[in-house]
Amino acid sequence: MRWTLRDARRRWVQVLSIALLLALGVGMYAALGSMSAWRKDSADQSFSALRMHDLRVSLADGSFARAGALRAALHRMPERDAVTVAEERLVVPAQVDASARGRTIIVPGRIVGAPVDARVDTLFVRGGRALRAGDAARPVAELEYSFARHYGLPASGTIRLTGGRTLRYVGQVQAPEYFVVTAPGADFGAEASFAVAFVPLRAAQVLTGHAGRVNELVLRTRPGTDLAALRRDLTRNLRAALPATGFAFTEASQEPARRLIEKDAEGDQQLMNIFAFLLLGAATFAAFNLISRTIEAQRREIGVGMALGVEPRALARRPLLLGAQIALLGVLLGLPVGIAGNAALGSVMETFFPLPVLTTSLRPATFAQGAALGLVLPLAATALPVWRAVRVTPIEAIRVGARAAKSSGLAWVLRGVRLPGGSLGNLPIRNVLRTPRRTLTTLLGIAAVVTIVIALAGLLDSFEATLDASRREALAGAPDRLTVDLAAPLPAGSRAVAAIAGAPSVGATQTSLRLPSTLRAGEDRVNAFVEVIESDGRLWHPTLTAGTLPATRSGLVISSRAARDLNVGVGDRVDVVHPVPTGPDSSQLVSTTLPVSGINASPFRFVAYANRAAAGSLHVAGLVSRISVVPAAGRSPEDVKHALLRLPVVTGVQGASATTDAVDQRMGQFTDVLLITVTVALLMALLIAFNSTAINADERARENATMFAYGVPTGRVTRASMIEALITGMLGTALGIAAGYGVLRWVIDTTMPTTMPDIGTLTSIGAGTYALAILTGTVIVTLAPLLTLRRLRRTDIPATLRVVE
Amino acid sequence: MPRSSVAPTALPPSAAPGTTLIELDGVGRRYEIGGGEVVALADVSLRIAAEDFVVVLGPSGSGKTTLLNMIGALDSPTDGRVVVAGQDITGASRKELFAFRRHGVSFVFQTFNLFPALTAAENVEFGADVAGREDPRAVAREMLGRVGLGDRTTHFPHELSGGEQQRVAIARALASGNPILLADEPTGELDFRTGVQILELLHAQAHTGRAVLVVSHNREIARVADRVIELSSGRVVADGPPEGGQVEISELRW
Ligand SMILES: Nc1ncnc2c1ncn2[C@@H]1O[C@H](COP(=O)(O)OP(=O)(O)OP(=O)(O)O)[C@@H](O)[C@H]1O
Ligand SMILES: [Mg+2]
Repeated sequence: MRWTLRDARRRWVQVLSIALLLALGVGMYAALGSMSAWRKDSADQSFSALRMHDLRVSLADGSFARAGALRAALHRMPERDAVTVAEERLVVPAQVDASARGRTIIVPGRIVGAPVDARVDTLFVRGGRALRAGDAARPVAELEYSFARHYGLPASGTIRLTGGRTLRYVGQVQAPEYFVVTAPGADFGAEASFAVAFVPLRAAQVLTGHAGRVNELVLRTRPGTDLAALRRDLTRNLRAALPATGFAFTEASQEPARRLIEKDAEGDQQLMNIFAFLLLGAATFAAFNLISRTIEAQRREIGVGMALGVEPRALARRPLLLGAQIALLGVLLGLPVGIAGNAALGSVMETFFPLPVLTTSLRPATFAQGAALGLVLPLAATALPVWRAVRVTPIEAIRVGARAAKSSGLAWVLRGVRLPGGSLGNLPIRNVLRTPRRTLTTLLGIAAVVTIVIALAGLLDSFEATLDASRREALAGAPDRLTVDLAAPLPAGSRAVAAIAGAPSVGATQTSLRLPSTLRAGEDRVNAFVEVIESDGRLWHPTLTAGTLPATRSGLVISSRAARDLNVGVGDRVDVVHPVPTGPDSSQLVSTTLPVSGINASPFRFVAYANRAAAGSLHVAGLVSRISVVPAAGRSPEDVKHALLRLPVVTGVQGASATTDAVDQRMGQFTDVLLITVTVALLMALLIAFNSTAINADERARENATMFAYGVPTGRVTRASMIEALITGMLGTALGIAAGYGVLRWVIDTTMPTTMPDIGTLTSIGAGTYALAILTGTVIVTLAPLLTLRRLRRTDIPATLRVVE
Repeated sequence: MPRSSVAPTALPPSAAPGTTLIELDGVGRRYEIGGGEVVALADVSLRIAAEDFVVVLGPSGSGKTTLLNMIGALDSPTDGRVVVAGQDITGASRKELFAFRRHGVSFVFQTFNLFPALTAAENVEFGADVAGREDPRAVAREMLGRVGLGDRTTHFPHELSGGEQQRVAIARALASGNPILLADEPTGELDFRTGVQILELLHAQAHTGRAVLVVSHNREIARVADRVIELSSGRVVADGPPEGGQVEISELRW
C-alpha cells in the first residue's frame, strides 16, 4: 500500500472537490429554503419598524367626519387603555399625473393626509428627504416608492393632480400598507397603475377641498388586546357619534399588503424548495457516487489487509475516515457557500421585495436540515462499499487487481462483434461495458446534473414560452394596439366614448366591457375578467383553441387553465358572478349562467370573453368600459396616451401586452433565482466531471501504463479516455434529459398551480437548454480527461506496472 | 547530449544471428531519495545479439528490473549510454522513446497486464496494432496459434488460467514483430509446469532472430539460457554461459 505524499495530496484535491460539491448542495439548500422565511421575517420587522396599525377604521366612500370626531369615539370606551396610539387621516382618491420627459404617466391613485410626526404607519424614506414639522401646512408630498421606482422617477419633483393642481414631492417613501401595492382590477404589477402621495394632513385637507375633515382612524394597541371587543366598543361609539355614516374595520392581518406577502411567500417557497431539493439531491447523489467509486478502488487494499489477518474494523477505519472527512468538510464549506448564496438570493429579494428592513441571514435550522443529509449520505456512500469489501474472501479481493478483473461485466455483449478502429478503438466501449456498475454510477451522477439543468433551465424556457404565447395573442394583428380603460362603464353611444374614438391621434377602435367576475362551476371557483367583445372584432379578437364565440347565441370563452380548474369543457355551463352598475358610483353583484362555448389561447387563467349576445343576460348590454385603439397613421402610441389620459373618464391607457409585462415582472424573481441555481448546477457539473475523471484515471492507471510500455502515445491514451467519457456522458445526458423533462412536467403540474395559480405555464424546453445539457453532460465530461493529461505524462510506468499496487 | 532519431523502420523485425541488437556502455541509474542516493545500477556495460536467450539473475533489489527498463526505454540512465539496434536512445525525446517502444521492444510482465475488456485475440491484436503491422487480426490469429491458444480467441482474460493469460501476453509481445523481447519475472506467478511451458515459448522466440531477455531470481531457470548475466547491488558480477552448462528445459526442477 503506497501512501506517498503525492498520493495524499491528490486525494486531498479529490476530498476537497467532492466536499465542495456537497457544500454547493447544502449551502444552496439553506439559502433557497430560507427565502419565504426571509420574506415573512423581513415583512414582520418592516411592519413593526414602521409601527403599522393594528386596526384601521375607514368611513364609507365619500363620507367624512370632522377632525377629532373619530378619535373622540375612543374616549367613552371601557377598553380605552388598550389603545396606545390613535391617529386620524384623510384618504382621498385622485388621478395622478407624473408625466416626465415626454412620457405620459397618468394613473389613478390617492392622496393620504396624515400627521407629519405620525406615530402610526410611519414612512420609510427611500430617496429625497422626509417630511418635517415645518412642512405641516405646506403642500409638499412624499411619493410612494414602488410606483416611483417602476417608472424610474427622480427622488424629488412635481406631480399634477385631478384638476390640474401641481404638487411638489420631496422624497420617495415606503409605507406599511403599500409594501405590496394592490389595486382593484390589477392582479399583477399594480404599482405601475396606482400612485400614492403622502401629504401633511392639513395640506391634504386644503388640497382636496375637505378642510377640517378626516375619514380614517388608525390604532395601535397593547399586545394581547382583544380586537373583537375593541371593535364592538368602537362600533357602538361610532354609531352613536356618526349615526348616518357607514364605516368598516380592517385588522392588520387583513390588510391586503400583509396578506399578499404571506400568501405569495408561501406559494413561492414551494418552487424555491424544489430548486433547493434538486440541488441538494444532485449534489449528495453525485457525492455518494464519487465516494463509493473512490472506496471501490480501495477494495483490493482491504482484501490484502484481510489476507494478512487485519481486523475488518481496522481496515474499515481509513475509508470511513475519508467519508467522514468529505462529509464534514462539505458541511463546513457549506457555510460560506450558504452565506454567498444568501447574499446572491438576498439581492434578488432586495430587487423584487424592497422592504425597509431586510433580513437575509443564514437560518441555522434550514442549514441543519441540508447539513444532516450532507453528512449522512457521504457516510453511507463509504459504508456500503466498505461493507461489501470486508465481506468478500481475501483471495477474491486480492485477485481483483492483480489478475485483471474478476469478470468482464457486459463486455460479452461485444464478444464477436467488432467495431471499426482496431483493438484500441474498441477499448473505450468495451471498458464502458466491462464495469457496468461503475459505468452506471458515473452515468447517474451525470444524469443527476443534466436533470436539474433541464428542469431549471426548462422552467425558464417554459416561463418564456408562456409569456411569448400570451404576448403573441395580445398583439396579434395589431402590435400597436392600446387598451383604454374607463373609470366606469358608459353607454356605447355616450359622448365620452365618441370623444375617444374621435381623438385625432386615434385610428381604428373597438369597444368592449370588462367585468371583474368569479366563475363558478359546482364547488370550484376561479376569478376572471370576463370581457364582452364583438364576435367579429376587426381590430382584434381572441384566438380559440376549441369551440367558437357564436354570433347570435350567447357564449362564454374561458382559458384552458380556468376550464381545467373548473372541471368544465365546451358545452358545460358556468355561473358568472359579476357586478352590475346600479348608479354612477354603485353596483350590485349578480350571478348569470352562461354556456362555455369555447376555450381561448391565453395561458392566463383570468382571461375570459363573452359575446354581445351574452351581454343582455349579463345586464350590461350597450355598456363600454374598455376601448381597444390603434394610433392613427403617423401617430405613436405615446401620442395616444398623451391625448387620452387627460380625459377624466380614462383611468389607464396601456399597450395591449401590459398584463403580460406585469406577469413577466412577477416571474422575474424566479427567473433570477433560476439563473443563480443553474449557475450552481453548472459548477456542480464541473466538479463531478473533474472527480469522475480523476477516479477514472486511478482505475485505469495500470491499463494506461501498459499502453505506454507498448509505446501508445499519450494523445491516443487520452483519446481513448475521452471516447469512454463521451459514451458515458451521452448516455447520462440522454437519461438526464428524460428525467429532467419528467421533473419539469411535475413542477409545472403540481407546484406552479400553487405558486402562480393564475398562470397556465406551458411546458417548453428550448434549444439553448438542450445545448446547455449537452455541454454539461457530454462536452465537459468528454473534455475532462484533458485535465489528467499532465498526470498521464508523468506516469511512472515501471512503478505502475509493479505487482503490488 | 547527442540526439538520434529512432525511425520506426530503423529496426529490423529480426536480425541475422550474431548481429548486436543491444549495447550498454557504462550505464548507471541513481535515485535521489530525500537527500540520500540509491544506486540501482552502476557501470553496466553489455552487448546482446540477435538470437540470444539471456537470463538476468540476481537477488531482490539487485537492479534486474532497472536494467530491463533501461533497455525497454521505460526509464533513462543517469550515466552511460544505451544503444539499441545502432540507435542511441539515451538522449532521445519522449516522442522518440514512444516510437522506440512501439517498434523496438515488447514487454511481457509478471502480472500479465492484459486488457480485461478485450478478448484474447484482441489483446494480441493490440500488439500488432500499435506496431503498425498489416492485417493485425491475421497476425493475432497466427500468434495465438503459435502459443497454442488458437481455440481460445474469443475468451476474455478472466476466463483463462494464469498460464494461458501469460501465453496471451507473450503472443501480444510477439505480435508487435519487434526484435527485442523483454520479460520481467514472467513465471513468477505460475506453478512449475506452467512456468516451464512459458519458458519454452520464450526460448523458442530467440530462434526467430530476436534477442530475448528474461529476468528471474531463480537459478534453475538460468540453466536453460544461452547466457546468464548476474547482477548484485547494481553491478554485473558474472556474464557467461550458465554454471554447469546449458541444459534442456525438460531437465529443469524447482
Ligand atoms: N523509483 C525508484 N525510486 C527509488 N529507488 C528505486 C526505484 N526503483 C528502484 N529503486 C531501487 O533500485 C534498486 C533496484 O531495484 P530493481 O527494481 O531494479 O530490483 P530488482 O532486481 O528488480 O528486484 P526484485 O527482484 O525484487 O524485483 C532497489 O534498491 C530499489 O529500491
Ligand atoms: Mg524486479
